[in-house]
Amino acid sequence: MGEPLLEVRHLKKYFPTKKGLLYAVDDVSFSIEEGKTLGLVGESGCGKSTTGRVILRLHEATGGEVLYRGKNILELSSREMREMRKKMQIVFQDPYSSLNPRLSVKGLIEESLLQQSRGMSSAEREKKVLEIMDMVGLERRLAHSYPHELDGGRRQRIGIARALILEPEFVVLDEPVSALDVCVQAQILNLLMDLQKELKLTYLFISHNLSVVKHISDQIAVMYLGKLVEMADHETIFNAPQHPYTKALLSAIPIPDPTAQTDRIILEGDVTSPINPPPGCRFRSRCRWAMPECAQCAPELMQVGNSTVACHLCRGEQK
Amino acid sequence: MKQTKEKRYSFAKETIARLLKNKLAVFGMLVLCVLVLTAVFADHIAPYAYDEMDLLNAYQSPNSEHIFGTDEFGRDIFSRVVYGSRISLKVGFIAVGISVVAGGLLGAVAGYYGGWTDNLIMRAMDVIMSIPATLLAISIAAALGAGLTNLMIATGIASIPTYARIVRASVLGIKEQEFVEAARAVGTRDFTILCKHILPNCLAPIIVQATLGVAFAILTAAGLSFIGLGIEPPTPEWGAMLSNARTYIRDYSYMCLFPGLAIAITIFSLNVLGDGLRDALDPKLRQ
Amino acid sequence: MKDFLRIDGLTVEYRSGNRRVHAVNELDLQVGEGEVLGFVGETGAGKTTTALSILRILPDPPAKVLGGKVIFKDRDIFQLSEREMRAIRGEEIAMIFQDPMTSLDPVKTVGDQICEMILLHQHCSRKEAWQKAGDMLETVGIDRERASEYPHQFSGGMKQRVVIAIALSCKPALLIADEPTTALDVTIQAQILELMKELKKEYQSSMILITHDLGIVAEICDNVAIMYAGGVVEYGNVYDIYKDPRHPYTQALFDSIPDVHRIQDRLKVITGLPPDPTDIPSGCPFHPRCPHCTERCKTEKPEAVYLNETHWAKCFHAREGRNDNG
Repeated sequence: MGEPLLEVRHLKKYFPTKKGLLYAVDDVSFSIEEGKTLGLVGESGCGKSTTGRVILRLHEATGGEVLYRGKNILELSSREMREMRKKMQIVFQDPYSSLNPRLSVKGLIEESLLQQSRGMSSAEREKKVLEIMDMVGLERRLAHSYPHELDGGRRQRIGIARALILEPEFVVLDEPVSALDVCVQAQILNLLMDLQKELKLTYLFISHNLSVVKHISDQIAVMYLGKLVEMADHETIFNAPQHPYTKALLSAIPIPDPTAQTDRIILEGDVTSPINPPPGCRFRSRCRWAMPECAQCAPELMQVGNSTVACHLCRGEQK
Repeated sequence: MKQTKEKRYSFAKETIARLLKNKLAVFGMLVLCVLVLTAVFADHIAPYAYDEMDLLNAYQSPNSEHIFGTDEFGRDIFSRVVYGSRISLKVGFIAVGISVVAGGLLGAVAGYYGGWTDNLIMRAMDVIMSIPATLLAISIAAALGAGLTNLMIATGIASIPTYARIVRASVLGIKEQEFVEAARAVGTRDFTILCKHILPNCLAPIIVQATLGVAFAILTAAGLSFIGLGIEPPTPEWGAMLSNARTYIRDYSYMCLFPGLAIAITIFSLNVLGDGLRDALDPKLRQ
Repeated sequence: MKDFLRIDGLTVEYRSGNRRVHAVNELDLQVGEGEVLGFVGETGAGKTTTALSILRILPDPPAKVLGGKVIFKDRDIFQLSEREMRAIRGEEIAMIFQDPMTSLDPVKTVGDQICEMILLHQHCSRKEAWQKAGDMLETVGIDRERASEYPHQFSGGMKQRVVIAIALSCKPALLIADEPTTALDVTIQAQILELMKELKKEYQSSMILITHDLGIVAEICDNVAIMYAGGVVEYGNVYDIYKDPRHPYTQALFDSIPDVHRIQDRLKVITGLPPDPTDIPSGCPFHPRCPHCTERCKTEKPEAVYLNETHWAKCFHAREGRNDNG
């Protein structure tokens, strides 16, 4: 067992809206070991991206702690945080809007160096940029191209290069392959896995695509409406899902095999609004096993077999 | 350092090359050059002095001696238009410069920081906007006193809210984009983000508005001169000439025609140049 | 089987200045009556362009149809007058677009939007149309009372149901669905797929389902056409294609999907990038990326090789067994 590099404790992020508080992230706790990948899965609006951004302090948390090597980074001053950003980086989902259209590839990758290593000479920077371009598989000749001239896969490589040039230890990957075609997606996934091995990176991999998450993650956490509902290693999640939502999510994936028997759990209705959610389990309005108890109190996370689950149904099986 | 310089140079070169490909923009640029040269060498170009009166030859239609005709005091209109370019161009550019810089800065700050900063700035802008621009310019000019500098300041201030609004709106759109967040994630300072990432992406609407703004500035300045708050007669100025000539438009329409034409040509050339510049600065249109 | 929709040698290009983007190149395709065809390919493979050509709603300029025929129920689509074409659009061929958020008019109630479609193509009173609109909403699983609500009061999945209701309101003979679930969450996607399966049974209209998700195709399609660089490279029924893909591109496509039910270390990837549509490679368009490429592939364009009555692949090596080179 490695030491946890990052530990998130009771993280909360509420956004004030006109209709009331939006509980984007509500009491989420998890930890990631050094060199491992935690996959964070959920549907749109479940707070997974917000979690990633609060950890990096791109949004300020409403409450809770984020311990990085034991130090709570939510308490750092903005100067200390700027130092910290060298260690923690992010790759964004949309390779189109996450790159400033007016900067060249070199300018985009170089930006973090300009901010963080001010003493560096221009020649040194250039050398570094070219090295990182080699590493992520961008041809050197593209250094003076602009992002709109490149395809999605190459743009995402720029995003990865930009994050890695400061030699971080921890990278939040916020849906890094969702906007890409399957073939390119496979290339980027392989690249991310190679880089992790080579540079001993720790990943928080955020995605709505379970098959992708399973492929890359060691641990998987499933989120629903701001809460973690289940967390386990990737095999357990797929072979023995406990929470009804995890089960539904798994069975919703279309299987590329026409002979496969689909015994699908179709969830009724839509995700309820995260604004002022009613007390009790947030999934109960779509859960076919909902009990009166579910409306009264929210289930706590508990250990069931190899997983950590928040569901009243699993209480009987608790070990 | 050499590397960086080389790159900067090549970006500028590229932009100019793209600008030169646009025939209309090149045309606009040439016309503007001619106008500026006219202003510089007015002494040599104008056949008469701008205040040389010749009451015997007043109200002459364009002829070989006075190619643009003469006005009610018998002054040569061509000479006055030529001399007028000095003041009109100066007023137009400097006034727009003032409003673009001040308005742009205020709008950018308001849009980027939001919250009470935004409220404070934009409500102040609303107050300014609630007064008709011309009236506002008049009151500022009246407070500051007559004179060319005060005229430019007054016209400049009057259109600050327009630019503040435009810039704020585009900043609001751009700051939501992920690349701004990406810049923050690597620890970029707010000021750098604003200057390097946000403002360059708002250039297009500013350029378009600024080219139109020059026309507005020239005309406002003319209005101010007309009521005695700007340039003192007999100093020639296109707008002032135009408003003077209004009285004679039925009988001696050419008196209006030439200063009006001068303004129109300036605006047209600025417009096409502005459009060309906007496209040339946009790397997305690079072939 | 009489062909219901047949596309022969369709070629479409986009022109901007001196650039010519070859979006669709000599595409051949058939869709039978009551059949669901899956149209699979990457971004830029020409899927949507083909769909828009069938409806003749390509933006012209910049798009230009350079050649080919689209025969729908024995009529050549490109020969029809604009008036005849308007009658076909919506009534006989309907289309569902990818993004339900932008394909509904935000200032009209959903009932009105369905009514509009009905009144356009059917002779009935407004009251009857409203009645029918309510029926349609129920068919797609929405209470008829909600007909007087506005699109913003619906969630993404519900909006897509409304879009489907509009498309089906005139009982079209052919429905073209362009990535109908891409913008939706998985659990909502599952609902919509279920709905589409039911509707397929009930309406028995033909459908072209454009998607990049091979999982969705496996679930509801009868036949599959795999597109690459503006042309169909492999065609067959789902069982043949999924069990025994013969075109190297199809094989690579299957290899790139992370399989939920298997532990893999690395994904197999196709080297290189999709072709630049302004400069499609000579011969077989896939040859620069193909592991089995021979000299012949570089110069000669492969014709369809029939592996059985319906399954064909445009590859010289299609009859050779699949040899994995890992």
